Amino acid sequence: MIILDLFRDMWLWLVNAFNDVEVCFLRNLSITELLSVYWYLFFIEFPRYYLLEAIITVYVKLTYHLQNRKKAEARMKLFIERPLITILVPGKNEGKNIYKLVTSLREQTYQNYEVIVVDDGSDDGTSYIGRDLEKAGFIDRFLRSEKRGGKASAANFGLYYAKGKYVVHLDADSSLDRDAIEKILLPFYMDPKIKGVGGTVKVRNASDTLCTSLQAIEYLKTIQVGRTVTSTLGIYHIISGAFGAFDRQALNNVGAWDIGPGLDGDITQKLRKAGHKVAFANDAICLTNAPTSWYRLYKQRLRWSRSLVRFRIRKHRDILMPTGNFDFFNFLSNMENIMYDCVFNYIWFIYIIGLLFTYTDRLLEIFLVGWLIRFFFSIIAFGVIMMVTERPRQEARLAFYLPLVTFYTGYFLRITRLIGHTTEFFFFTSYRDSWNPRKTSVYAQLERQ
Amino acid sequence: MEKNKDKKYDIITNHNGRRILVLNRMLEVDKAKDINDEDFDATFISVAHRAYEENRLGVRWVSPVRSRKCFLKPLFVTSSLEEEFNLYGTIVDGFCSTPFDAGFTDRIEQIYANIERFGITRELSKLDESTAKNLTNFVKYDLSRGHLTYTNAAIRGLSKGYSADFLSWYGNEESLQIDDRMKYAKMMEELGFAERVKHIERVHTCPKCGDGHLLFIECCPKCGSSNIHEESILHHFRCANLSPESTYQWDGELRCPKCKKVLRHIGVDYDRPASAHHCHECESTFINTTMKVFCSHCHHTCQPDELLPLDIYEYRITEKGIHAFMNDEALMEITSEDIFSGHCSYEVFTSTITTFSAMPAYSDHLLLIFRYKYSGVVRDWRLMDIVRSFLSHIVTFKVTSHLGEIYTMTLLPKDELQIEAPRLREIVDQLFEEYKERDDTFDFKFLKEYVFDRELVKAEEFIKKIGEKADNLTPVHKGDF
Repeated sequence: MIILDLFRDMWLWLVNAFNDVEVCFLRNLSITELLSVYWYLFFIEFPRYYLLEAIITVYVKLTYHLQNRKKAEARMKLFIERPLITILVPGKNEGKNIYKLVTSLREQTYQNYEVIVVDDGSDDGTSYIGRDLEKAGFIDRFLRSEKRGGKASAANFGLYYAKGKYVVHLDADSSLDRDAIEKILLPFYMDPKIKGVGGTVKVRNASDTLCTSLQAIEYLKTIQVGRTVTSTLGIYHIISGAFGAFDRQALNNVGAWDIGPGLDGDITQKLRKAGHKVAFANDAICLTNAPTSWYRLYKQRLRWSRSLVRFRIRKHRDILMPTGNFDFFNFLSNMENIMYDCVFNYIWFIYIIGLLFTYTDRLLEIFLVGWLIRFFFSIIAFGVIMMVTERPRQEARLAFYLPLVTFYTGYFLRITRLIGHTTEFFFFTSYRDSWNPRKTSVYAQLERQ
Repeated sequence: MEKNKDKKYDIITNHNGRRILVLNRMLEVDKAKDINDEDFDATFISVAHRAYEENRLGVRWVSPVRSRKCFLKPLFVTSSLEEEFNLYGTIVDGFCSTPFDAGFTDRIEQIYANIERFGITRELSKLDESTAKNLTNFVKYDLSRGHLTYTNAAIRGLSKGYSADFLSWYGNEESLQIDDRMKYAKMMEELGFAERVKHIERVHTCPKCGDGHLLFIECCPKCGSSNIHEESILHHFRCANLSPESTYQWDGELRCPKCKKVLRHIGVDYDRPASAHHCHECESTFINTTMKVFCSHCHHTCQPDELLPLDIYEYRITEKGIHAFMNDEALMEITSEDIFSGHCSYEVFTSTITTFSAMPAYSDHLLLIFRYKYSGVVRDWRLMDIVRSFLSHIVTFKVTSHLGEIYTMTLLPKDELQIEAPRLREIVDQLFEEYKERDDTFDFKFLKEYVFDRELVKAEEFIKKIGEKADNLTPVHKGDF
């Protein structure tokens, strides 16, 4: 009896609350008021991340047949020429992943490749695994540095011995779809000015934890959809280090990789500045493991944010200046990234504080309605994802996590980015990050202006 | 005492009454007619020749191991040769400047005391004797010098790697090859004549010929050539460039090929995290070299993991062993694997026939086999006596016993058969007669003579033939079987 009473009371309270909300807020809400309260959502986020993406995706879908014909032509050219591809895998302590990677490479539809694995000062059994794999013929060349030099130096080391026409750079824990190599090479044959192609990165361990599931949705949205859009618009700005392909000559001409973190974005910038085009292959799929704990995710995103400041704002700021090498699209790509990833974060921060002070009495309603709006937005975004993905059935079940996406992207990631950017701006924290070996960081710090 | 430089040698007496043969010239003592075994107790070489090889020859001529007259006698050499000879393991017992040296005198006494103590008999037969006899001579030498333990120490220049010390004097004529030595050691252990004292080393030998002289060569993993050179790889911190040092070379300075900055300070500007090898034959570059092993004896190339490991131990001669060697009992036990001499088992005897039939070097030789019956059981002490006599007097015979019968084998060129066969038969018969005189319970009877001509008959058939039961066989000559 008491239980039934309890339930009844709860239900009544909910209905009342809803009524209150409805009365106090929704009924009295006009469109203008809505827009003025949620101006950040409607005027900054929605246009770029939802409307634009939806439009472009629909456009891409509509020109599907034309695209397909171009791709088929490119494919034919690729298989007639059959150039040698160098697959470069730098890493430290990645011994246990290398075998899996090499096995997935054997399944590729394009088989004219050489595998170069670079061991950057591993202190576990990686050197033995690598040497054995080399002897057994699974790997073409196994290079080893006794001392750790950082990912960029390891990649450069491998590049020195590369003989292929195109270089595919992979992370050791990536594994590829069967046609991934073939698909990532197609853009080179669709437009000869393209010298760098980024592949699609998806999360392999999406069902591990809540954290990874949310990341899976994020990757789908920002990479598969987001980069298709930016690539179509000509402002594609980052070829992922987990799966990227480059023309070897162009790569050498821009001086290959420079010290990271963010060396993948950095090299894309360099290629663009050199006048080359970069493209995104949304059908070349690579699966990678996302961090499973919130703490590790936090650390990773901090590093990414710091790299944005270090490279886009400091090192490559000349993209934004009217120098002799100025290109509008380069400018736009860099600017778009800086604005949306960095500047608008601060604006959001001010916006939230503004909200807190203006509507202190109605915070709960504001928050709830905001969440509701966001939820609708994310449904739209998910619809767009479903349009683009090649695995709709498997990824459909991620829809259950949509209600939480807003907390993830809207709050967690935003705050992380804020912290990352701010500490890098003022404290140059990335130079002390142990992601790079200390000797290189010390030098880099000495060098910075 | 003054040495008469004109005289080739001199015999002087030292404080203890020992007579010392002082050599002023290199002298082959065994062949010298006017020097007899009883004339001297020790030898001293007082002259150093200019040529090194001459000196070594001089020492060999008076070797306490091989020379007949000088067998087991202490040998000292003038101090001026001390440096030269010290490189090799020595059969020289010491160095001094005069034969009256106190050290020399003491050592003579020590050696004779050892000979007394162990009851070593000083008889030496001709040079080309059986392996078994050789071994006993070495053992006797060791004992007389008080070396109760023997080991195979590494000798410089010796192709088998490990050997007994004094064998280095005999260079290419080393009589104990490594296989024989290992069998010898094993045999000694099995018979209880020696015991293992400690493990010296585990060496690796060629899988094809067993030689220990191996060369380890680093080579290119692709083409196997050793024409490779190694290069450091430099990591320039500033621009993350990692490439071989040759790409950084710029007129003696190191300059980064990517950002063109000059490298100044290791650890601060740059680092050397790895090295790469480059092969000049096939122009490939690689990080790890492979090792190949080259045998300097048979020129066989193989991988390091194909080498055969060989354990070398140090042994000590036991009481039983000393006893056995001094009484020449050991001769019976240690079988000789030499082809054509010594005592051996019946199996080895017959397998020698098979081996002989396959050897192209002896295509115009024959094997002459005498078969005797003797009264007495198998492994009778009489048999031991007889065989011992054989080994002492007739060195070119291989002898075995089988089912109460004695077989002897000797090697003859074809054309000498008619002349030699009866003569040899006479020698053997005489030997038996001599023995019979000493022991009248002994009787023997010549059964049959066999001649093995490999062109006429196959080895297996022949072996069966000689093993056939024979009662009252009348002697036959060649052609009659």
